Amino acid sequence: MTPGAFWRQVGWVFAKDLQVEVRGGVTLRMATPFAALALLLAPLAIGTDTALLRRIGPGMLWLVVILFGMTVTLRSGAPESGPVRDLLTLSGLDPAAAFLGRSLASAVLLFGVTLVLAPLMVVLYAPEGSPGWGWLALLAIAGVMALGLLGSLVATLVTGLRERTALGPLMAIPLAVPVLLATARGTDSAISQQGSLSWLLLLVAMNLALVIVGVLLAGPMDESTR
Amino acid sequence: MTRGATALDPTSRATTAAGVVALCLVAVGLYMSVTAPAEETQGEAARLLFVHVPSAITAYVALGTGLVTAAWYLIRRSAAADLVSAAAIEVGVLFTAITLLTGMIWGRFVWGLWWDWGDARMVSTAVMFFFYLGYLALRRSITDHRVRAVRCAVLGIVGFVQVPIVHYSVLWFRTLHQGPSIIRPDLGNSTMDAAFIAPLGAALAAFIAVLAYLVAVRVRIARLEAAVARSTTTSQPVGASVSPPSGLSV
Repeated sequence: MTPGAFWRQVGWVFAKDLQVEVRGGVTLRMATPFAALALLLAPLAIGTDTALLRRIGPGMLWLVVILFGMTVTLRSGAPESGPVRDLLTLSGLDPAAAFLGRSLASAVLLFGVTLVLAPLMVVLYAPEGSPGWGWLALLAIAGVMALGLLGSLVATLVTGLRERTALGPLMAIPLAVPVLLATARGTDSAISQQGSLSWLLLLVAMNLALVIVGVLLAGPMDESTR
Repeated sequence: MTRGATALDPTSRATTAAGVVALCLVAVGLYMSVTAPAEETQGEAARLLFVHVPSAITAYVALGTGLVTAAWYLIRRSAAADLVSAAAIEVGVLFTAITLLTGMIWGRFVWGLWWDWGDARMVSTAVMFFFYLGYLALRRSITDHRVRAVRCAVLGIVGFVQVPIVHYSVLWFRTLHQGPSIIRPDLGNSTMDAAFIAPLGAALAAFIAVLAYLVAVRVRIARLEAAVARSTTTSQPVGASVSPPSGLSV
């Protein structure tokens, strides 16, 4: 398969998954408000000490994005089933292209969730200093991409299992700890007007590793879902 | 006992011999750990390190074995590789739990704390422990052996990234935990006093022998489980001992 044909297939899967979200709207109408509610309720549980909230704001943002975002990616990153799957197999869809397409679509959905939650965190937790929005945007893009790749990988592993809603997060969230550390510490640095380059590089390296592993293992993973 | 049944017997000679060797090494390791001199600043609590450090290294070895055999399964589709991978990871989880527990007890005596969030290795080991619990849960959730083998092999490969994170966390983060004293990144000599190296080496040999024994037993149990599963799905209703009544044509 030529690189052009491969990336066209990635684009098809990406567009299909986003279209499914546009029609269903589960992420926008349910997951995002639920995550926003968690940001709102956390200060009630841990206390409304303003200084404490300013310190924990960036960490809370990314913790909520990862916990709630993982439910989004585990759903949207799962491979197709039934007739849709048969149709895609018959049309010669490359498993690696399908994996990348699903991961990209999940990352876009997660970016949408982050776009809503980041300003909310700034308003509710009022972190000290003014955020470096450029660094925040780069960290968010790299962070959601890593979560999208991770979510798609784990979603494939739990496809068709009755216990997938509990199993998926149990496997994915420990693997997402480096993303949590890099995004939360990076956001902290961006807010205190320090560069976040080292954390951004960690996220880029993690993305590269996940793309390589995902593409190499896409074939066996696809075979196990048949 | 038939030849086939002997091959599935968990008390076969090779496994029993491995168990005896492991037991002897455990006795030697225990003796050397108890008779080693007390550490200058930590006192008797330092003896816990003769369990903590070998169990951590043994967990790395077990999870590394799981990684290699998982990759081997994906390349060659060998059922034996899948069984060894699963057994090694299961035993690795046990040793990770021992590492965590002994680390917490040692921390209570030396640092005055059961748990310290500033200790990157402690936290990353706990994260690794929960990830591999997820691996075991995935393995139990899938009944089809082919699907189970492929998915668990993929997870075993992806999840191994946790091991270098745990080991190098003490270098990457400012942490209360001491840096590596044996497996050092600069490949330099151990920073440990010579009086402690011999008992630590003996304890490590004992732990590795126990690992080999437990993996062998676990693989045999898995084979027995597979044989039982096969026998329950065969067309024979009760077993070979049942024959139709004489005089009836079947």
